[in-house]
Amino acid sequence: MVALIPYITIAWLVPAFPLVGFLITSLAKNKLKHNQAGIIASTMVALSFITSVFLFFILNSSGQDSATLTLFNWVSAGDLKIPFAFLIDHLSLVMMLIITGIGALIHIYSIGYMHDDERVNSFFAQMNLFTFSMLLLVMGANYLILFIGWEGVGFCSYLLIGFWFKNPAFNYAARKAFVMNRIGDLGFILGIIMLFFTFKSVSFNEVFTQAATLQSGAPILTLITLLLLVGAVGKSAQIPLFTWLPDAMAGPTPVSALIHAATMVTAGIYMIARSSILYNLAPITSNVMIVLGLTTAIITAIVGLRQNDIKKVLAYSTVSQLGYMFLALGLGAYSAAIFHVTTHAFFKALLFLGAGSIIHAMGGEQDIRKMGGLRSKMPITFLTFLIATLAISGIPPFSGFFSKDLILTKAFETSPWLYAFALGGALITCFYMFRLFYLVFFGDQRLSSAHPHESPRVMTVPLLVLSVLSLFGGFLNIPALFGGNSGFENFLHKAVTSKESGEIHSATEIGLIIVSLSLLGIIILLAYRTYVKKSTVPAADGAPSSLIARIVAKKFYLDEIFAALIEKPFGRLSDFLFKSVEVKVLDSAVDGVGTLTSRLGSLVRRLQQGNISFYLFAMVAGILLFIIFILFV
Amino acid sequence: MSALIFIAIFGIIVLYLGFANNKAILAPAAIGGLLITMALSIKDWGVGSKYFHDMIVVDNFSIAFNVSMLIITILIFLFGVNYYKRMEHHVAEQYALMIFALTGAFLMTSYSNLIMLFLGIEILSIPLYILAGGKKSSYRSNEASFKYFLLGSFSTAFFLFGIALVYGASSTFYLPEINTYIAQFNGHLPPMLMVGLLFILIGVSFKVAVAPFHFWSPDVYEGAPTLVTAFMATVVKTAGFAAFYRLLGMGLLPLPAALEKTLWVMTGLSLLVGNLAALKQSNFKRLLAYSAIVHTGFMLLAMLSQHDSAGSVLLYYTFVYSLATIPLFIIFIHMKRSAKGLEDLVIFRGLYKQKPWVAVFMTILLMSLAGLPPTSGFMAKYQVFTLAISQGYIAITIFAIVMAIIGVYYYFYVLREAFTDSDEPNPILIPFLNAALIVVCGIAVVLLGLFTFTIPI
Repeated sequence: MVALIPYITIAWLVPAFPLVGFLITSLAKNKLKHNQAGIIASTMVALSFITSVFLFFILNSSGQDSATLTLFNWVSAGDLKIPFAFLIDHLSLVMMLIITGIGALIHIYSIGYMHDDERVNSFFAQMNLFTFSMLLLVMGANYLILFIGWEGVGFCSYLLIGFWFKNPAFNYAARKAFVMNRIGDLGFILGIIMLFFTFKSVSFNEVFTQAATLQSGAPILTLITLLLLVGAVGKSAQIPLFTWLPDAMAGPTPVSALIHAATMVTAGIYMIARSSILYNLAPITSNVMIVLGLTTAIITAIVGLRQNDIKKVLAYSTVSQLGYMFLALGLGAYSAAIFHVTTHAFFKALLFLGAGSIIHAMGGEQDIRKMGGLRSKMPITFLTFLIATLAISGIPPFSGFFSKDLILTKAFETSPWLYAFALGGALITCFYMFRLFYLVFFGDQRLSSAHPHESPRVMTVPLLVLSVLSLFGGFLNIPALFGGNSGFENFLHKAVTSKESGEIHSATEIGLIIVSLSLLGIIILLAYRTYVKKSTVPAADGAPSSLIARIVAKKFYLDEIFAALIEKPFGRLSDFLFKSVEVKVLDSAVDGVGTLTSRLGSLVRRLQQGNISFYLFAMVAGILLFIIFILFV
Repeated sequence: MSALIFIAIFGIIVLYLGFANNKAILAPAAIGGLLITMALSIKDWGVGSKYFHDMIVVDNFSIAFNVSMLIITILIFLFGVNYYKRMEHHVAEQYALMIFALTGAFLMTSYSNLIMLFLGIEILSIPLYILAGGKKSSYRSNEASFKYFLLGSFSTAFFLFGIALVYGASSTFYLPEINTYIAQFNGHLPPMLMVGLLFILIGVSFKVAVAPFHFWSPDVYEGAPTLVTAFMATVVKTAGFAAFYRLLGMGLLPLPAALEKTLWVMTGLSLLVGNLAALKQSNFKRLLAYSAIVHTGFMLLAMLSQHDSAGSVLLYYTFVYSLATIPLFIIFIHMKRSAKGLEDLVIFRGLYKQKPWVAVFMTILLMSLAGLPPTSGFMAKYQVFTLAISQGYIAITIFAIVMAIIGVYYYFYVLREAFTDSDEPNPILIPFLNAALIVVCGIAVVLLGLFTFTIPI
């Protein structure tokens, strides 16, 4: 057994490396040439990854469940004492490994992808800053540090979505993401304030220790968990705050892979899993999460059916998968949710990077209707994309099968209806993913102007690494049914407290798997017949279509509903405040004070004219007044 | 005590050095003498002794203020090396008069008897009347000297009259005895004593330019040679406040309510009048004169808070204020030269373009005067405000904070000029020694803000 505490102090290096990388790449952004910024940034994240792996082994061999590293006392005011501390336990380690491991791969990939961009140095600076903030988010030992990271990633996400800021539409997308997250953050910060109000502390350890003594369903806990949930809904793009994520695809593709698929959007899942003790005591919130998660999973999957932009399809599928994670959270299967976060990070990063490779090859074209026949021209991308598609569809033995099956089983344990809906969503996922896959790689090339080619090795090597992970990542947690020991879940059980659920018979479980697999097979065949055999190409945007098709294509008019319900009233309110209150009342009041002071200044200055007899007169007048005052008043 | 005797004799020696007809030895000799004085002063630290029938008290308070004034005077002499190079005659007298004034200042920090205070003030003032008229051929310098002398004598008369009245009532000149005498009346003093005390307070108020007895200061600051103005704004102000604090903080406080109210009125008036007049000021020296009046208000606030730590807050305040003010006057001298004698704020135009680092340090110095963090000027004001709030003077503190905010306007007005490009730029020359001192002062102003000191006095 290794003594834990002396070694754990290296934990501060994990966020320090990307911070140093950010400082170097941003301060020297006019001096770095060629790929230097990319190499520095990638090295820093890789070093973080190595440190995280090291920490992983230290913690495992120590036999301890967690360790806290206090760097310094940060806030100390009255009752409020907040140390700047990191909490290293199994949950934060899993997140750290995902962020730094996948982050490093995406950084390396970006060296190739962003090669020709003129602001490539700023790009890597922002990516490193993002990695730093994300690590703060998952490593913080209290809600406040989590919140710093939370805001930091939101800010970096804003910068990177609007990275190509010369396009106004991209700027709008960045702003939309920021504002929607702000709505969530409002709930989140209220939640933190309520936490402090209730427990007089925001540190995880203290809050959870005290909360464990409260009764299940206590109103204050329901309120806190609901407020925190609002934050998670914003960050992790759930109904009703999800529409920013598809628009966020305006950013460069590696950004979509890192921030809007693998890491940032899972911050909400992490936060709720971290607060599992609170959520276990709030059954109402759990039910809300089940409804939200399942609705999001299904609705966005349906919207994904009609999307023709390769990144938009992936974006909706991300939202849909996040919905499954929320479902798992609501069912109290926190480790299942984190397991899905992990496998999803593998295959969704792979899908996005593959999409990036395709876009790169097609010269910037993102419309799948114009692609086709890329199988032979881009063999590595084809192979890795296939693995990822199989993984997300939940085909064994790919990683997605294990994590999704775990969630589906948990759903069945609670109610067969939940299972049926969740499976329905999974089938839709499978259909639109294979639709995308067939349209891109099979058939004939439909855009004659493009000359697709395989991407350079700096891009394909990360693809290959990720495809190995997508292929075998599921073996981290082989359920008992297949002779495994649920290693991942047991590993996490030390950090999160999942709800106990009724065991189902293994025969039932096998039956469920057979049902779902045969349905998936049918769906894949259906997609094959539609898009390969009949070579159907989705209709152009303006083509006449049925009412339902139009509703789906318009994303259930959610953007329009938001505009009418929130954007317009708020716009009018701020218009009113600006034109009436700001300009007429505040501005003129402030100006008036200034003018008045200035006039008084001129008046006083006029007293001073250099005339000595006046000075003497004034002094004597003053003296007389004072004498009268002290003697007679 | 040996320091006081040494500096008095040393002033005469410097005066006679003038016959050597060698300007180059004057500054090193003067600075060397001041350093010896400083060593002699520090030697007495912690001893606490009384001289001449207890008329003079040398304690840590007086030593701390003396050393502070010595450092500031050395700084002025260092800056003066270049300044007096151009002067043909009577250079030795300039140094000697400042040293004589310093002798008076020493008395003002260590008196325990009103006669000693009177002597100190006069020994300080008479060299200043001469120094203010140092530019013999300049009409304005002569005018300043005359005005200062006339108004100064006027206030001296009140001051003496006040001493006489107090003596008439209490038959003593000793502060502690006066204090005991006042205490027996339980706040209901006979009119003669009241008026006597008021006149004494007015006499000292005049010296530190408290409104409404401030009228002399803008005119004198403007007319006097700039280096003398710098001396008046820093050393004389420090000495005046040390004397004021001995009079009040270590002597007469708690005052009868009516007198205390009078002083509060003067505090508020100083803050208000100084600020309002500074707002529209276009002459840099007058601007600093008004700003000095405002700073007087802040220091009065600290003193009237009646707290044991007020002395050390005052020391810190006067020292960092002096440290920021002197380099500003030096920068002004060079800008004035390059603008051929103009004194308007416009002369700072184009400074950033030509000498960016001077503009940067000027920013730091002005920020310190305005009281913005992280400079020591901020810490000084912060200490004053916390002191006043801790003693329950909330309303006047809020008023003072508002005044401090208004002050930012005119300090930054100067900065705006410095960072504006000039239409017809004149070459700005700043000798190496001066440049180095400006940098040192600027850094010291920041460092003293980051690491504030408190000397137990």
